[in-house]
Amino acid sequence: MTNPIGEASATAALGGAFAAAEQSAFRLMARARLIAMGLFVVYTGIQFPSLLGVYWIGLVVVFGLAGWVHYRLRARCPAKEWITVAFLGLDAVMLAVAILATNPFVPDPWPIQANLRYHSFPYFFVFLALTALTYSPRLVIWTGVFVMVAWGIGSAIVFALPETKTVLDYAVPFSGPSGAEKLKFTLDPHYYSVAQPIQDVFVLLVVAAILAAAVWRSKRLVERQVETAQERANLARYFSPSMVEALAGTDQPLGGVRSQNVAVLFADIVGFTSLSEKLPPEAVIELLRDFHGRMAREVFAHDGTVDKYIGDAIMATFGTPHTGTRDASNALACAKAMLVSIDAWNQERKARGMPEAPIGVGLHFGPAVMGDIGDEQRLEYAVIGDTVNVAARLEALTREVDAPLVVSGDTVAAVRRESGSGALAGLEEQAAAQVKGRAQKVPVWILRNSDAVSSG
Amino acid sequence: MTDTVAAAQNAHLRSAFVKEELRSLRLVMYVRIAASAAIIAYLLLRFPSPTGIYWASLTVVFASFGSLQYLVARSRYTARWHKYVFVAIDLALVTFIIHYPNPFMAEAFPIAENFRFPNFDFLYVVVALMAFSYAPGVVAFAGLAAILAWGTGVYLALQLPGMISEYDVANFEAQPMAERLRMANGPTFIDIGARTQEFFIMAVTAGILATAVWRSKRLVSRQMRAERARTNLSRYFSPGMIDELADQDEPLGAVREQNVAVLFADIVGFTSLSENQPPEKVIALLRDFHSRMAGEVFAHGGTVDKYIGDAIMATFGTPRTGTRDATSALTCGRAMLEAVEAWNRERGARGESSIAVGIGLHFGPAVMGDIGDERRLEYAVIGDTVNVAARLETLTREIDAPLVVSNDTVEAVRRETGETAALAGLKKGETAAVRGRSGTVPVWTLNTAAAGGA
Repeated sequence: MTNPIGEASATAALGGAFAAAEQSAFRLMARARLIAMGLFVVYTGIQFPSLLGVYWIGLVVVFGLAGWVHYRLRARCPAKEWITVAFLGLDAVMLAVAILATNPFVPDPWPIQANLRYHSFPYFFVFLALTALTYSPRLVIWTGVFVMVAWGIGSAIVFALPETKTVLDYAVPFSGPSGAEKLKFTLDPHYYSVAQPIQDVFVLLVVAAILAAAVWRSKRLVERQVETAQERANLARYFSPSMVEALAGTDQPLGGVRSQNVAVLFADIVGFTSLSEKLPPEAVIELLRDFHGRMAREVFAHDGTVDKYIGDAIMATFGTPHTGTRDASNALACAKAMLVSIDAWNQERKARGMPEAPIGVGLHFGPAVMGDIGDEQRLEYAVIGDTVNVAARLEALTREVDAPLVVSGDTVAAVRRESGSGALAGLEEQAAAQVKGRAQKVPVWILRNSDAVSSG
Repeated sequence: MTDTVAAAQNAHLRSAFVKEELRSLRLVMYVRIAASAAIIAYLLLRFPSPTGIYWASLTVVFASFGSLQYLVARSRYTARWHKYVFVAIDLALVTFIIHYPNPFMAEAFPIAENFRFPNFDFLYVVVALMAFSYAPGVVAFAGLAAILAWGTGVYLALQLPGMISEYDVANFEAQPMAERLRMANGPTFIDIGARTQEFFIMAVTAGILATAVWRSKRLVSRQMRAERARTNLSRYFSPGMIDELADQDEPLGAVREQNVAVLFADIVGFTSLSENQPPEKVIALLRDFHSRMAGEVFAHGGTVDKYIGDAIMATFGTPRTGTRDATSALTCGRAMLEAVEAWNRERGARGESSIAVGIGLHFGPAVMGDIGDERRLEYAVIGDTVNVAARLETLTREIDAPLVVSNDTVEAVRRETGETAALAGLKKGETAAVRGRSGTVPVWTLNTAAAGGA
């Protein structure tokens, strides 16, 4: 972490990503709930194709609606966890009532105690399982607690009914009488075992604890994932979009080296040193960001890769990491677009009373070697070779020939091969130039000024 | 992405996934032990007798299966289908424990009582334990296996003499309520409708848990992809910079100005050296040179700022200012010369030509921050200090010394550490004109002999 401010902003970004994950968890929960309710509607419809079934289907629909309302509310107020807690409580109460209340459409209802032997308690497990889709172990535990309370109260009411028979109503200690007598007693339609709600609730609490642990792990997983993804995204910004996947997918550093034809472009501000001399450091960085931003936009718009920034200069390549069919043409089109963009920039600067910042662009096409250079602890994916040096020197040449764009004869030939002579409009051939570090002269073409771009 | 890259990625993810699954099995082993302990306590409280001890001992067996599964998964005999076998054994065991007559029970109730009492609940414990897995298919299978195990129990129970269900009575639903009530509460009656409802609820619950597990699985594989990408991308940054940059959520943030030492080093005559070499040889030479230089930079607490062709640019006092930045930089420069000498001895032994390097070093204020475009940033150190350091490096050719250090650096070293060994052998040269600068820069140089002796 850099500083308190950086830490706070990092926490905020991670919190946002975690909140988004939580929202999608609630959406998943709402959907799963709707599907589960749909299945119960089908099941009930088949099992009870009568008014009886319609009543229960009605109840299921109410549960479905409650789930949907909860989702909408949470989508609107993501920070209010108590809404979910309230709905979990509502679920537990509604389900306890639904199980205990007699279906009014049953013509001759059974005693409630006999009904409880049908064992509908496991419906609570469905609602518990739904909370396993959240990222909050607390919510799972809350569900367990609510079920315990709701079912405890419901069972207490049943035990309190005058006709209910249970162990406590038996005259002698339960362990006393013979097995046959005990059996007869428990088979009474009004018998409700005290152990039944206790075991139901106990097992549900064990399951709730297990699921809470699982949800705790999911929560940690999501936090780790969000953090790693954020770090990856932050680091990815230091690479050209076209390179990120290739580099992120390379497990073996310093791997193979490739040799292929690429177009290399250098662009920089003419007189940057003297321009920046009078500016405070913040203004210099501002100037650079503005300049680099404009240049990088053109590079990406023309399928290029920003290789590196060297001070005010920007080095871009075309045909990296993979050779295309229009690499030289893209590079030339990019160079022209850069000049147009800088013209517009300088208009703005002039209007604001700032000095103009003319640029020089050098462009060369030829074989280069590509691969990781550097040390295992600090790599750089680099394009190396004479082609790069020549491009850099053509850029320097823009000052001598007083033209904003200098293009090598090799580039011109490649553009002609790729897209015909039409693409070369505005370029003028010059006398071959002596390039530092090279024995042979390099044939060069220039673009006099950016007006030639629009005319061409 | 090429096929080989995709294949490598898949292999990488698979092995990482296996590790994560193993971690999950270890966690669930503990959870299972805790859940079993709770159930054992419950059983012993309810049946403080040999009856309870019998069930509690069988629960211990159930608890131990988690450790068994973990041990098998960790061994080399592990296989994917084991997960299915283990969950099937779990469910069969729990069903068996519940239905097989307890030998310590004084008087046996008819088996129908087992179904009337909410014993099916215990199968939810087994299925819930599956929520830790990363295999949605296995969770769905667990739901199915629970239904099958319990269904088999129902089927076998109905084969016992005297057992009946509502399907053994003609027109059960048409009977008067009292009659149905009498039959349903008979000691040998098993309600198939109630069992069907249990199965259906189990299927739905297992489906929901399978969904949760499916999401965990996706989450884990996303996490692994991000982790791997992060690791691979971090290699393109100096170790000291990774956290600083990875935690920077706002690109193009604040700019800082501070004093730094900037060092440039490159191979003298690299172009002519590499002219007639195949590209692989050139890259190999660069990697050798860069890794030796970067090794010294990191050893002296510096940051490799960038590689520019054969040159390496390093900074000291980034991202945070230290108390010995100039001294570290100067010591690093001297160590680089020694490293190159050692390298040249190796090269000489192999019959290869010697390499000469030039190192320029300057200390002064610079501006630090992200430059570039939001889609392609570079954390850069910008300013006149950088330009001067680069020019001092080119100056090494003109004055024929491997190390050229600005007077500002020497003064900073003196301030930091006094007249130390770092300054030994440095000779004050004449004031040198530096291109692009109106004034001149007083420089100090170190010749090769002095570097070797240091």
